[in-house]
Amino acid sequence: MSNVNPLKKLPGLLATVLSLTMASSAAMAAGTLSGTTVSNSATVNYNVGAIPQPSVTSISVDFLVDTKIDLTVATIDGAAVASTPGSVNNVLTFTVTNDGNASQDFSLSAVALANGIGNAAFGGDDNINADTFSARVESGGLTGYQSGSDTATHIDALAPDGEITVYIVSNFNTGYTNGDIASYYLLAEALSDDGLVGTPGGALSETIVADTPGSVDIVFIDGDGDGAGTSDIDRDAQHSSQNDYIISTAALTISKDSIVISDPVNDTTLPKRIPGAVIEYQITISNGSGAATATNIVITDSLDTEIGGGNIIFNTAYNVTADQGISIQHPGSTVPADYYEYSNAGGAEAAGRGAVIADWNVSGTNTVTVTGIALNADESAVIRFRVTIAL
Amino acid sequence: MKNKNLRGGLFMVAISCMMAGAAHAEDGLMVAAEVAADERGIVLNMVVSEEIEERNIVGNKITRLIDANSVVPGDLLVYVTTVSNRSQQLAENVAIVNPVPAHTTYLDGSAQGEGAMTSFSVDGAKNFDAVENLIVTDENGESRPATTQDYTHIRWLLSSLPANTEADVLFRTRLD
Repeated sequence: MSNVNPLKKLPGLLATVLSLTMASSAAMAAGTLSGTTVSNSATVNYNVGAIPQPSVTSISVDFLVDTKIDLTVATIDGAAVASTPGSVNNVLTFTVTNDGNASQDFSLSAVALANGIGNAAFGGDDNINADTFSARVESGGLTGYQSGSDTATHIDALAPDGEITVYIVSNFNTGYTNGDIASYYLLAEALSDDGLVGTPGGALSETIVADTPGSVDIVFIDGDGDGAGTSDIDRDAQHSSQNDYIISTAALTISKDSIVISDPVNDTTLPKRIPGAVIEYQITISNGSGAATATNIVITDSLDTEIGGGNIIFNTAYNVTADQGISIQHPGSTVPADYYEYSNAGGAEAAGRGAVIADWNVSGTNTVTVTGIALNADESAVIRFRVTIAL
Repeated sequence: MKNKNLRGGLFMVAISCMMAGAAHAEDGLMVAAEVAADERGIVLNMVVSEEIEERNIVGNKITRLIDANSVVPGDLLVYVTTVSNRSQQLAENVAIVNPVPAHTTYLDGSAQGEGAMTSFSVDGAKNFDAVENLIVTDENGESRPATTQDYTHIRWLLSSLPANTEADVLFRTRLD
């Protein structure tokens, strides 16, 4: 046999096509399965003195496709996940994709980002951590996290090109401030597929020493994920993606003002706060920008000291008819468009948002009580009622 | 160049040598006889290598060929076929045909061979033609120009290969 090594003669030929190899990177998914044998042999036909000769076929050259370890962790949420102080099972959603060419198990870790400036996935500063957090695998039943069924903490036997949903599930105690951010990485690491359900396989080692011809070696080709806050680097069988919780709580503010409506002398023209004058109290409740919706807001305003001391009395004749002493303007008010006058004997708004009730004396003597108002971010409600300064 | 008149024929010199080799084998000299027989005809030798890219000591990208023992999807493979004319006669119309291996895709423009006319088949080596003439018909009966994914075989045609010479042809694929 000839022992001429054709590779030694190649550099000239290779240089001519180098540029072509760069341009033809096909969209790669998992690709040819690990362990596949790729065979090839050439055939030559020729003539001698115009007489065709029997064809000659080369021996088959084979190689074995090795195991490529590659994975992608991706954040599915399009924005930081709003979470309320005191809430449980707040869910960040990720996918883990096996981009390798063999079935693998995967370990999962939820890694809290260290606090920092401008380091959150969706902008802002990571400044808190959840009080409990863990990674859970979607079981394939109902879409979305189900605490009863999505309980696995690692991925078993994810096929090449397979994708599975993984959650980071967190609980937040009370006491966090609107806009606080808790940023997390989901870190996944490819493991051997041990063929057992419920048991993660062992850690993988890349074949970095001499290749073993004829055997299936392991090559890590995964990239570096979001990983600044994790151990994830290129070619380490790990990948990561970052995602955020943002605390969203109501930011209610309340203010109270009074104006004089009329007095017995000037009537409604430049009235003064003299005995007999009608005073309107105005209580404004506002929910802050970006805040969570506040529901079941309860406002109580006790005038018992003033009324009990004989300084003022309730004026129960408001705008429309007698016996309607409290006016509420709130989002969703429909009757009339912006205001609705409530009976001081107790009465619920028939239409509009919620079942707003305004009444006197239900929560305490000489106390105005309003219940049922709901406020989204940037919304306000105004409660008005009138008193008369005692003569 | 047309080369459709190839038929199975007898290469009398080679045959007689092989018979001589068999006689030697009976004398216990089989190995020497087989080598002698090989060297009287056309011999094909093929090597597959993986092409890797790395940086040299001054930081420039270079490519290097290594044994194809650690191949994963996406890797580049270079197949080099050496055709050697070990006879004492001129071989003419030497057509080397190589299938594009299963699980790989031919890289456009990579078929090389000094003095060889290169053509491709999209129908399992029934017909060969230049790249610009290759047409495939899809299941709807509509024709379109072939792409590298359609190539099934590559052919290099050498008008002649003198006695005691050899020629290399090569192509590249990417493992799917």
